Amino acid sequence: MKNRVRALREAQGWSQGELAEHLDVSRQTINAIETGKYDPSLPLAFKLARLFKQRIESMFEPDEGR
Amino acid sequence: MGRMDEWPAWQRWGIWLVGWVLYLGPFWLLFTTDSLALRLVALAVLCVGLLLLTYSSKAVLNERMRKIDRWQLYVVLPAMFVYMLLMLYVFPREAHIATPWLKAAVALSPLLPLIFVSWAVVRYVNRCDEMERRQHLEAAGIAVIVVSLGSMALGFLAAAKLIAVNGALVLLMVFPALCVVYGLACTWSKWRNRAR
Repeated sequence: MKNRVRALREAQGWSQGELAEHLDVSRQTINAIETGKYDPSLPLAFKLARLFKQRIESMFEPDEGR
Repeated sequence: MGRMDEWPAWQRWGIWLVGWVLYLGPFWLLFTTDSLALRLVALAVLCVGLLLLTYSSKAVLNERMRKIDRWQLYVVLPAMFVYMLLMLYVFPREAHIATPWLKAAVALSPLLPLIFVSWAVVRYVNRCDEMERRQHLEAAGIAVIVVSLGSMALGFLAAAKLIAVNGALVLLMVFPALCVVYGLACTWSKWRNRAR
């Protein structure tokens, strides 16, 4: 799954740690999502979308190659 | 001072090294001295070392100590302190006890803090976030596979009479071996996701 989490986070001027605190997850979880190593669950994806005031489908895009 | 994960890298790694020294030094002392006072001091220093190691291990991975991390630390640390005391001063007494039920109670006494620690670990994992829970599941799976294969290998070699195995010692080592492999697998998994 491709996502725009890193771009949205950087646009807010937040570090991975700060985003992790907003979402109540660990910093490594944010890192894994940003690098595409981990796809978040639906509840976490919705939390991310709400935090960045985005539609969920505009943040996550299925990776057609997989 | 600020949060440790925001300190410069050399300070975080420095504290991590000090933590290891304060952990391994007293550990060595515990097995080499017979002095009760020295052993108690070593146990106290070992706890400080573990405290520093836990905080700095998070910090070197750019990770903050959350409420659940602190909860786990302050619950597990005293329990491990009690376990060491029981292993050093209560468990060896079973050799001098004749009454079977009392002998069994004394021999099983170190299990009590370990049961408590196991409960604390399950509670901690349940309060972790979703990716961390997956990491813990993977680590537990790796630990089970490694320890099972290791004990099977030992069993085959013992059955072939190539090595002599002390059954009681092997059974005692299963839980620590699971904990060590589980810990290493967790660390490896966290290290892979450490980059900013």
